[in-house]
Amino acid sequence: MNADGNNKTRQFIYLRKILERAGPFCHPDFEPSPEILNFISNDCKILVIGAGGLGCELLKNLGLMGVKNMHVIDMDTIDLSNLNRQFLFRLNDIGKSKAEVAAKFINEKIPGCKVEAHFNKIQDFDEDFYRQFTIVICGLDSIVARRWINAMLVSLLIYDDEKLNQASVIPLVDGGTEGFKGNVRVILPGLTACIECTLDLFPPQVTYPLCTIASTPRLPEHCIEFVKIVQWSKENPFDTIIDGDDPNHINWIFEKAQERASLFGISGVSYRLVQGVIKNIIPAVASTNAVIAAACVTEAFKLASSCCATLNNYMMFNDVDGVYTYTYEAEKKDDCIVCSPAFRPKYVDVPHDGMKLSEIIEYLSENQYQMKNPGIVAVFPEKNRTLYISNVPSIEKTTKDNLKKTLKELNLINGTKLIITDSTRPLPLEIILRFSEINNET
Amino acid sequence: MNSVEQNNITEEEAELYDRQIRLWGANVQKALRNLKILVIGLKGVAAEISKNLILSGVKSITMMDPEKVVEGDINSQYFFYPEDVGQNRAQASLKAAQILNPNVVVRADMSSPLDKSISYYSNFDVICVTNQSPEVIICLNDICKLYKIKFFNGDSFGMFGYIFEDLNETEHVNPQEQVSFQTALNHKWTPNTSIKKRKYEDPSYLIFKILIDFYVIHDRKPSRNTYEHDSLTLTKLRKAILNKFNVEEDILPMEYLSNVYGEFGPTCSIIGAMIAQQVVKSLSDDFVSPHNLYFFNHLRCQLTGITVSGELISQKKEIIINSENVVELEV
Repeated sequence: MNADGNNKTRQFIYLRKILERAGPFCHPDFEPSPEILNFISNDCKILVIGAGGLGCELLKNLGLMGVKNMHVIDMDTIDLSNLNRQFLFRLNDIGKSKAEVAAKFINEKIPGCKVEAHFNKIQDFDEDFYRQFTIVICGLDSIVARRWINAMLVSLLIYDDEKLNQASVIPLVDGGTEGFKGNVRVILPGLTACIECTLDLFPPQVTYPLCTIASTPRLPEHCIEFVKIVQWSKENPFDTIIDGDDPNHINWIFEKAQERASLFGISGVSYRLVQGVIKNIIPAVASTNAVIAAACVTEAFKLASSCCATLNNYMMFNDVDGVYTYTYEAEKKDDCIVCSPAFRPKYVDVPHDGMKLSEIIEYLSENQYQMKNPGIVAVFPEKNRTLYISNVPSIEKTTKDNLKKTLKELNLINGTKLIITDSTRPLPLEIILRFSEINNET
Repeated sequence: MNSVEQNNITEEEAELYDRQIRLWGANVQKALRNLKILVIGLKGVAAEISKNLILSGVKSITMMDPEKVVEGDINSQYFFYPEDVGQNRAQASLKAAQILNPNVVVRADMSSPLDKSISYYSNFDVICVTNQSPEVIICLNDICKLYKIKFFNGDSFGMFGYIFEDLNETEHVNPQEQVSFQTALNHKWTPNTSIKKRKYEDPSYLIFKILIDFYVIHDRKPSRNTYEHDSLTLTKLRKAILNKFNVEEDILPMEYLSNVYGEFGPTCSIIGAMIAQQVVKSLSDDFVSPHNLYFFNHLRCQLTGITVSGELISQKKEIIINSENVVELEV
C-alpha cells in the first residue's frame, strides 16, 4: 500500500483485468483475484541475469507489466556497438556498468519499479542470494554460465523423504539469441529437463582443423586463424598477446591475413571479418532480442499467475526467411548428474549445533541409513577435513577425540556438507546439515 | 538537414550498427538509411515497431494517432510516461522515441489516418497500420496498392497477435497473385490433413477470424470492461467459425479465447519486432517472403506464417447477429 495508492493501482488496469475475471475460457489452475496482481507487483521477486540485448528487453517488459521487485546481474560495461539494440543505454553511458545503467533507467521511467543492480559475475553470489527469487530469467551469452545457474537452482531444491518439496522449486526461464535465431525454454528444476539434461542440444562451436589452417586454407577465416594462431606468436609484433580491442593488433592481423589470402587466391578478408574472428563477434539485432525476451516474460507471467498453460518446454525461433518456430518437450534425464535425485545430497536435520559428532554417527547407524561404521569428512571451502574414520586404525586414533566435540566446536554450520563413507555403500553419500533451530526462526 | 540521399555509411555509423551489418550486410543498411516510415496507432505494437526501426537506423519515422493516452496504456506502451495521460499518443511518444537514436528524424502527427489526403501517403516507403478497424485497414491497404508502398498491419488482442503483410511488389508477382487484407479475411483455410491428431492443429487463423469479426460487429476489440457480454459474443463467433470451416470443437479449445482482452505488453513486443524485421528483410535484393499472414499462438508460444491467396475482393462481407442470436456470415 502506498500514499498515492490510487494512482498506482489504476496504472495496471489492463493487467488487473486480465487476471480478475474467471470465465468460460480459463485454465483449470487459474484462480483470478486482485491478490494475483498484488503478488506479481509486490511479492514476486524476479532475477534477470544479463543486462544486454535480452536483458534490456526483459527489464522493460517486466517493469511495464507491473513487477516491482527485480534484481539484475551483469559483469559487462557498455560499448558503442551495443547501442543498436540495448536501448536503455545512451552514447554517454559508454564504459559504465550495464546492470547499473539499465536499472537506473527503468527505475526512473517506471514509477514504483525497484530494480537492484549488481555489477558482478553470477558466481559472486551464493545460495542465500538466489533463494530469495520467485523466478529467474536468463539472457546470457554463455553456456557455462547457464550451467552454473542451473546447478545453483537445482541445489536449492528440498527433498523431504525423497519427495520433492515443490515450494522449493524456482522456475528458470532461459532465452538465447544469435542473429536471426533464438530459443526460449521453461525449466522447473527437479520436475522438467534442466540445462544439463539437454547439453547435447547446444551446437558445437565452429573450429577449423589445424591442417586446413596450416596447409590448405579455402576460406578467408582460415587465413585469419593462421595469423592468429601461428604467425602472431612467431613474429610477436607487439610483444604481448592479442588484444581484440586494439586496432593496431587487428590491423596487423588484417594485413598479414590479406597477404596469406592472396598467396592462396582467396578473397573476402576484410577488416570487419578479422575483428569478428578475433573477437568472436556474434551478430545481433533488436528484433530477435525483442521476440525472445517477450516470449520469456510471457512464460514468466504464466508461471506467476497460472493464467494459462505454459510453454512445454523448449521453443526454437528462426526468422531468416519468414518466420519459423518449433516447440517440443525436452525430456528430463533420469541419470542427469545435476538434477537427478540419485545424485542429490540428502539433508540431515539436527536440532541444534550443540549436538556431538557421536550423535550424528549414531543417527547414521539407524533410520534409513543403517550404516555399519560411517566415516565422516567435512567439506569446507578451503580444504576438506576428516572428522572421523573408524576402520583405519591410525586415523581412528587421531580423530577419535572429535567424537566428543560438538558440531559447533568442529565449525560445522547450517548447510555444511558431509561426505559419508561406509561399508554398506559403494559410493560415498553426501549429506547436508540442517539445523532446525535456525529453520524455526526464519 | 541534408536532403541529398547519403550513400555511404559513416565510420561512426559503421561502429554503431556493426552487429546488425554483420547480419544483413552494408547494402541493406544503406537502404535502411533512406527509408521513410509511417506508423499509425500509437499503442503497444506501434511503439515496438518504432523502437526497433529507430534503433536500426531508418531515415525518418512519422508516428500518427489522433487519440489520447489513457491510464491502461502505461502498462503496454514503452514510450509513455505516467504524466502523459490525457496527452495525444503520438505527441507523448516523441521524447522516448527520439532518444533511442539521434540519427533518425522522428515526427508526431496528431491527425486521424482518414483525415489525410490520399497523396499524403505517397511520401512514405513503408506504412505500418496498427490499432485500426478492419475498414480502415482495408482502406489504407488500397492506398498502398495505388502507390506501390509496402504495407504492414499487425495487432495484439491480449496475448494473441497477428501480422498481415502486403509488399506490393508488382515486378515479381502476377496481378492474379496479389493479395490484400480482404484476401486474408476470405482465405479458404483448411485443417492440415497431415496432422493426425486434431489437437496439434494450429487454430490461429480461426482465432484471427473470430477477433476481426468481433471488431467488425462491435467496432472495438474485446474489453474486460464488458467481459460478460464480450465473452458471450466470442463464444458464439467460435461456434460459427467452427461450423463455417466444418471442423471439430477440439481444434479450438476455449482456453485460447480467455486471454484476448486488453493490451499485453510482451505480445505487442513480439508483433512489433516481427513487423520491423520484415521491413528490414524486404530491403534485400533477393528477398522473397514465404508467407503473408503470421500469428503468435500464445498458448504454445509459437510464431507461424501462412500464405493467403484468392481473388482481390472489393466488397466486404457482413457479419450480423439475427433475432435468434445466431451469427450469420452474409455477402
